[in-house]
Order: sequence, then structure tokens, then C-alpha cells
Amino acid sequence: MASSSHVTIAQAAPVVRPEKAQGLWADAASRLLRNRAATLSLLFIAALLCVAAAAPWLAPYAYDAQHLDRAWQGPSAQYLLGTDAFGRDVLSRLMYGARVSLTVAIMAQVIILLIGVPLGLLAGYFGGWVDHLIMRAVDALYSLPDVLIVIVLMAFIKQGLGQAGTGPLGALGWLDGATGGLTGVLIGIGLTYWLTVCRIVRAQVLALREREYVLAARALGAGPARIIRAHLLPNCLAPVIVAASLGVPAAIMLEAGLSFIGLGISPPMPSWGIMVADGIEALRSYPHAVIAPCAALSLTLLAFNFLGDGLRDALDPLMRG
Amino acid sequence: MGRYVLQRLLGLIPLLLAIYTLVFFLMRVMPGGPWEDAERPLPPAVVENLRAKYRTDAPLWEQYTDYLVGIVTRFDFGPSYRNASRTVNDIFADFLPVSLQLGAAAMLLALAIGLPLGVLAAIRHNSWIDHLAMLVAMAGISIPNYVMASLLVLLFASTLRLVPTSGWSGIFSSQAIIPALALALGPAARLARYTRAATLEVMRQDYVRTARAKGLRERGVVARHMLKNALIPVATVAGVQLAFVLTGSFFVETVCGVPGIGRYFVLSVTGRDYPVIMGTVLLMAVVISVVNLLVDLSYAVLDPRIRLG
Repeated sequence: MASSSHVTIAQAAPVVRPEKAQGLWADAASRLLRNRAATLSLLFIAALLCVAAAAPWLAPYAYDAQHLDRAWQGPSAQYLLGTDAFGRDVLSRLMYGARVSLTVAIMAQVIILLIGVPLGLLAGYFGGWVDHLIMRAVDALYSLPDVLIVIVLMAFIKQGLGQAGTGPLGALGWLDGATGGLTGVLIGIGLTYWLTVCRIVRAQVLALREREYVLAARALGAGPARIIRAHLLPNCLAPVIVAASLGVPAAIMLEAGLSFIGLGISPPMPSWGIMVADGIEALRSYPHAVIAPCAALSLTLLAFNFLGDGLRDALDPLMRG
Repeated sequence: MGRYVLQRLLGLIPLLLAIYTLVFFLMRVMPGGPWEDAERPLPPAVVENLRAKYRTDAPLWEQYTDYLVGIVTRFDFGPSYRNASRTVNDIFADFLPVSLQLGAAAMLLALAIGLPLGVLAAIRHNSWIDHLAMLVAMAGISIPNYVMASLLVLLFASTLRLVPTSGWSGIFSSQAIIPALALALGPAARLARYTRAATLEVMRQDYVRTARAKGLRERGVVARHMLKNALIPVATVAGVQLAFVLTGSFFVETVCGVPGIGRYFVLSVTGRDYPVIMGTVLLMAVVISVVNLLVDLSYAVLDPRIRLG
């Protein structure tokens, strides 16, 4: 009797299935995969990456192959998305343009992290006049719109790299020429967008610096380098990843915008921004040349925005809206 | 209040000085002047005359202080490098009013679209209206304004022939619709997202439940208890959206053929017309700082608990 009632109670109790212990990353990944928009976006971006990587083999024509007698042709079997003012294949140019956008997506964040993380660590960990100096610069730059800063910077960067002599600056100038102006764009975006990452890292370090485990590490004789590497940096990772992923669409949009107004990628290298600008000249007569790059740019930005939102929700449950 | 405003305005001085210094030295440090075009070099004598005319041959320190004194005392940004017969002030007088009108119209449009959309999405939380509104908002954030402008031109001007494709004849003409709309949609989308989040936050508050419990009509609860409190965080974001509208003019004015300062600025940057660049950057910094100050002042009106000081 006693034993049977014991069983009943056990059965009546809510069944708590112990969830498989998951680390931060596995937990975040499963949350991200439950987000339908983010998963679809991830697939879209993966497909785009494949297209961009395989552009030389997939593209039916070279991006700069001109056929002046076949300018502004509409979509056909020969040119699936038509041709532009110089008779260049729009589809092939889109594929090569994806390379530019995706390179910006990745490399801009790398440069931003390389500038923002060390400065944020310096400001947060050492404080004092270092912190003061860095944060005044951050505040000043924050008071101007990023697009304005980057446009002004691009004017000088293009000039500087174009006339650079020898040495490291000359090498950068050569790289810029070889990449069709992409290097300059990346430098401009990096110099403009490091602010947010710097602020996040600084805030995180300030919050953690006086925690017991950091004090304990210090008491055990750990130097600043070890404390930063082993205790502070890992804790900055999640918010920095969120900031970086939300920064990706901003960087892609900025590159396309700069190229659109003639301050970014230099022709004949295709950028989606340049393709929109070129197409606008004949917007009324030949809309196909504008619609294709507009769609590619907008869909890619949409995908990165959904992915960024999804990552934020997955990595930072407190910020979920 | 008066002291607070004065303090903020005084804080603007070091910022503007820092911007001035940075742009000035970037202008001078970069190899080559505006007349040293590598592809089509001017005769050295001409370059010398130009340098003398624009005083870029004076010692650097003298140029720095003279230009600064001119800006501060006479509000004089000097002559344009590219447009020899005109000063930067003339150019501002011509182009700035157009951009200001367009920007104001776009900002009002953004508020008129974004706020109701955000509130609607929040009160119909998790319904199809909410999902649709947020999808539209995400699209609004993702589509660059010049792409939006091109598509609007294509749809309303080329295909439906409702409005002229490009050009400008005042803010109240039908030509202003497309550029204003293209500038407004991005900020409207961001405003909608923030308004939705802020309203959802307010909806959970006790005073909203109390208002409902004492029998207020839903309309009164939304307008008086929810909207007014949700607007406080939204006001900050609205200030930030102004920057988007201002910089959006760089792109949209080019697409729509609007003779505003945005299009002129882009041409000046490509042509390295340094005085115009300097003037535009300083002007934008002032406009944005003043608007941010107004936003902060509006907090005190929206929320009596906030004391500025």
C-alpha cells in the first residue's frame, strides 16, 4: 500500500526531463535553428557564398566582356538577365558583384574587430587618460552620421592610396588597385564602424574587471595580458558577435552606396551599387538592368538582417524583443 | 533649463573645433592639391596662381587660423575650389533650402508611417498584422534608399505615369513625392520597430491595467496611458533618424535629380572641393547636435519625472 502510493506520487509529479546539458554555443545554435527566417537567411547566404566562390566557372561571360552591338538587350536565352549599356552580361556581373559584397561582409568586420576590440580593452582595462582619450574620440565620431564620415574619408583614402609611393602604404595602394578599390572601401568602413565594438568591449571589461575571479587571478600573479586573454576576452565574445553580425548588412549597404555615388569600387569591376547607378541612366527604357542588382542587393541585405536579428535573439536572450 | 541648454551649446564648441581640425589637416596632408590632377596636369604657372588666389601657399598654421577666424566671425566658408565664381555660402543659400524642405517632409512622413505602424503591431501582438508589419519594417530597413527611389520611379513614374520621373519644382509639387517617400521609408521602418518594442514594454505596466480596470475605453488607454509613455524612448530614435534622412539625401537626390546640398556634396567630394566639404560637415554636425538637444528637451515635456540639469 505504502509502496504503491509512493509510485502514484512519483507519477503525478510533473515529468521533468533533464535537458541535455548544453554549452552556450550549442544552446545558441539550437535556438537559431528554431528561427525560421534566420535559417532561411542562412541557406540563402550559403548559396550566395557558393555562387560568389564559383563565379569564374558559373558566370557565362567575363564581367568586363563588352559587346557594344548588343547593348541594353532584354532577358533572353543567351543573356538570362539581359545586358547593360556596354553589352555586358548582367547575370555574370551580378555573380562577380556578389564577391565584392560578401568580401565586404566578412573583411569589414575583421578590420572593425581588429581596431575596436584592442581599443575597447585598452580603454576598459587601463582606464585613466587612455580611456578618456579613446572615449572622447568615440563620442566625437558618434555625433556625426557614419555615412558622412565614410564619404569624407573615402575622398582622402582614394587620393592617398592612388598616389602612395613605396613602403607599406605603397603596398596598400597596389592592393587597392588590384582589388578595384575594395581595399580602400574596407579601410574606410573599418575606420568608421569600430566605435560600437569598442564601446561594447569597454563596457564589458569595466563590468568584469573588479569581479572576484579576476581579482583572484591577479592575486595569483597573473599579468594584464593573461587576465585579458583568459578572463575578459571570452566574456566579450557573445555581445561582440552580435554587434558584428548586425554590422554586416550595414557594411554591405555602405559599400554599395559608396560605389553607387562613385566613391567605392572602380569600374570595370562590378559592384551591385555601381550596377544600380549604371542602370538608372536608362531606367525608363531598360528597367531590367536596374531591377536585377536592386533585387540582389535588397535580398542579401534582408538575409543578413534576419540572420543578425536571429543571432542576437539566440545569443542574448535578455535582449529578445 | 536655460543653464542646461547653454551648457550643451558650449559643449558643441570643442566638438566642432575637433572636426574642423581633423578635416583641415586631412585636406592638407593628402598628397596633391585639388588642382594637381595626375591625368590632366595644369601648367605650373596656373597652379601657382590658383594657390595664391586660394591662399593655399601660405604657411599651414596661418591657413588654419585664418580660415577658422573667417568661419567663426563672418560665417564665411571661403570660395569654392571648383566653382570659381561662387563662395560656399552662395552654394549653401541655393541648395540648402531644397534639402531642408525635402528632409522635413521625409521626417514627417517617417513619423506618420512609423508610429501608427509600430503601435498597431504592438496592440495586435503576435497576430498576422504584427507579423506583416514587422516583415514590411525589415524590408524597409534592408532596402537602400536609392534602390527604393529607383523602384518608386519605375513604378509610379515610368509604368503608372502618375508623377514626373525626376526634377524639382518645390516641395509641394508632385515631383517631391518620390524622393520624400524614398528618404522616409528606412527611418519609418526603424521607428515602427522601436515604437512596437516601446509600446509592448508599456503595455505590461500596472498603470495600463489600472486604466483598463477602472473602465476607460480602449482608445483612451492607448492614447493617454500607452502612447504618451511609449513615446519617450521613441523620441531618442527619432532624433537618430534625422541623420539617416540627411545622409540619405546624398543618394536619393542623385536618383531623383533634386538640386539639393546632398547631390552637391557628393559632387564636391569627387571633385575634392575642400571648402564645400568642410562647410557641409560642420553644418551637419551643428544641425544634428541641435536636434539631439531638442530631443533631450522634449523628454522633460513628455516625462515630468525627468529633470534636466
